[in-house]
Amino acid sequence: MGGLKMIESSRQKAVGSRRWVAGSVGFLLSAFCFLPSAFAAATALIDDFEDQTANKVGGRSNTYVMAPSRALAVKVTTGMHGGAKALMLKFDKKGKGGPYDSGGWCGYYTMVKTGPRYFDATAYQALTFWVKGAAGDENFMVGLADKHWDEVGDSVKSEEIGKYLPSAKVTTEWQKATVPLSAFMLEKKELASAAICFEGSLFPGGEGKGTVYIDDMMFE
Amino acid sequence: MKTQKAVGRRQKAGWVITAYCLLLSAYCSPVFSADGGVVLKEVPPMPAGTVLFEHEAKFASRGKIGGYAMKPSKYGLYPDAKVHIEGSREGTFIRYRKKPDPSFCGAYIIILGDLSQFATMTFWIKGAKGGETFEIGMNDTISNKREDAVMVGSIHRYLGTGVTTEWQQVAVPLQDFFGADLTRVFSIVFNFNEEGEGKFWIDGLKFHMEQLVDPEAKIQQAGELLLDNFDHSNLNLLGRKANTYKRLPSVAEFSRVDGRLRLDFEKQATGWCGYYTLLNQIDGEFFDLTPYKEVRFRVRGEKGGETFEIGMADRSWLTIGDSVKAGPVEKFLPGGVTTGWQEVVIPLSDFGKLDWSQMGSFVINFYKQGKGTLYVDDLRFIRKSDKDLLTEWGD
Repeated sequence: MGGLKMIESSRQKAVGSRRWVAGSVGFLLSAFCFLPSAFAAATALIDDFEDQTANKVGGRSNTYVMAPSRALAVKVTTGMHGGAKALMLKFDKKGKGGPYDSGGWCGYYTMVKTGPRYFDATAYQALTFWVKGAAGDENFMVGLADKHWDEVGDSVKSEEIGKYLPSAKVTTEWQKATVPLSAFMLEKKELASAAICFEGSLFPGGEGKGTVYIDDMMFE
Repeated sequence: MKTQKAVGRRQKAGWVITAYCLLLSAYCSPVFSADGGVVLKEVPPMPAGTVLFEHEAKFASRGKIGGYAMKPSKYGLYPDAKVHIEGSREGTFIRYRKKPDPSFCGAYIIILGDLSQFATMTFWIKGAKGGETFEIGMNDTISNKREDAVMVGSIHRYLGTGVTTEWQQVAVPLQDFFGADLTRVFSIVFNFNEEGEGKFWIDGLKFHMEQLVDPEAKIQQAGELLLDNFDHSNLNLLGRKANTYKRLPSVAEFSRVDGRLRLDFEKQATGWCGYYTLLNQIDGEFFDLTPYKEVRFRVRGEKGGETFEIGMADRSWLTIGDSVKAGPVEKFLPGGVTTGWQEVVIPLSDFGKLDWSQMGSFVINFYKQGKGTLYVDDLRFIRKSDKDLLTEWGD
């Protein structure tokens, strides 16, 4: 099936003579896998947006919208921060209409939970990514959900993105956003998703429209 | 609907039960392996207090394999030290001879474990001739008692090329077994649903915490979701159910013939009839069709001139048991249905205002009085390209 990310090739010869060797190699590999977490990588890449499919931890990503607000996520091959692609996010947050006449909502999420297993981020201090705007001054919050927030389909929001950027606001140049995990009152051991949230409270009259680019999202 | 055969029916009167209860070779395989995952032996036990019938507790032990059959269908299985994957001592040989319904047969592996922490099940398979086929299912300790496994579809859903004479690794996302209690898994089932006979070997059953399958990858690569090719299972390729609906005196029946859907219908002046295939899990998630722009399928009639409407239902329409119709087939095939294959292409916008993020079903509705036979094949949804998306956004 397409998308099968198996380490081994799709074929094996039916032989038994190398069983002992295979077993020994397997033991060494397993021992490697059980090394203490202190040896774990200092960063965990969530998505570099190079692939058209799942993110780097195997989770799905998509926009979330409630009409009349809109969002569009497309991977682009120009103006990326690193590699060959970046994520382009177009948002159109409306101020009226929809539930409670609040204009609905829009944003983008990426799951760090894979299958039934939540992501253990206890070894990391921050969620980081690179960001730039098409015009500059675009605004959003970062959302993070643990198991409990995942179950209710929502996330805890950070402060405005500017607080986590060197120049205190989104510009047309790439900047690294560093959002401390301590900004979220969450169970770090069981994270489910990260999100880019275009909240109505960020915009005058609850309305905002624009384009931001995101690249190389990771836990550090 | 041709109901899914209730698998695991081992103890019903009149049925032939030839119980080969053998230790599964995977159970004896090395614990460690280069591709990660754990062997069956390492799977955590079911929660304390899990209720088993006396015969289940006595009969079942982890790693045992067995089968079920109703004459004249047959199965046979044994551990085979001559055919196995590298690093294993023996594979498990399985053969089957499936006769026409209602006769049935299948095989199973006893798990008796808590799989809730795992995301993917893998095993290796090799056929004697290639082309061997079966449906995959799972019984938890409850469904095993009512003999009604959760089926996820044909092996072809997970091995695009099907079983060949070479060893191939099969990866099945455990979340596909929707509805099963993964903390109390009783068995994995191989149900031989297609008439014919075959011999194959399986080996190296493992469970992985990693999501080794990305179902979206195939869709994005192909630029389309093939919902059903009607080749190997009455479940569609999302693993969802399909069926006819009818209100007497109108009737419709479906079958799969030579890898095509055959619909026999008789629409009377009253009542209604048609066919649906689900996009959503029953009592589960609805399907997000927002990235898609059109639905396509091939169609031909037994005589030509057969007519029907094409409908789709989102969550709301599914709740009231109806669908929004895009129109009669002649709207999309100006010459109507003929005895030759034609492709029907319908822009999803023709279905009007539906909640495309929560879709439930695709429908063929026989709305005009008449009787006939219709063949349908290759039902698929075409994704929007990035260009489509940007045009639709309209800066």
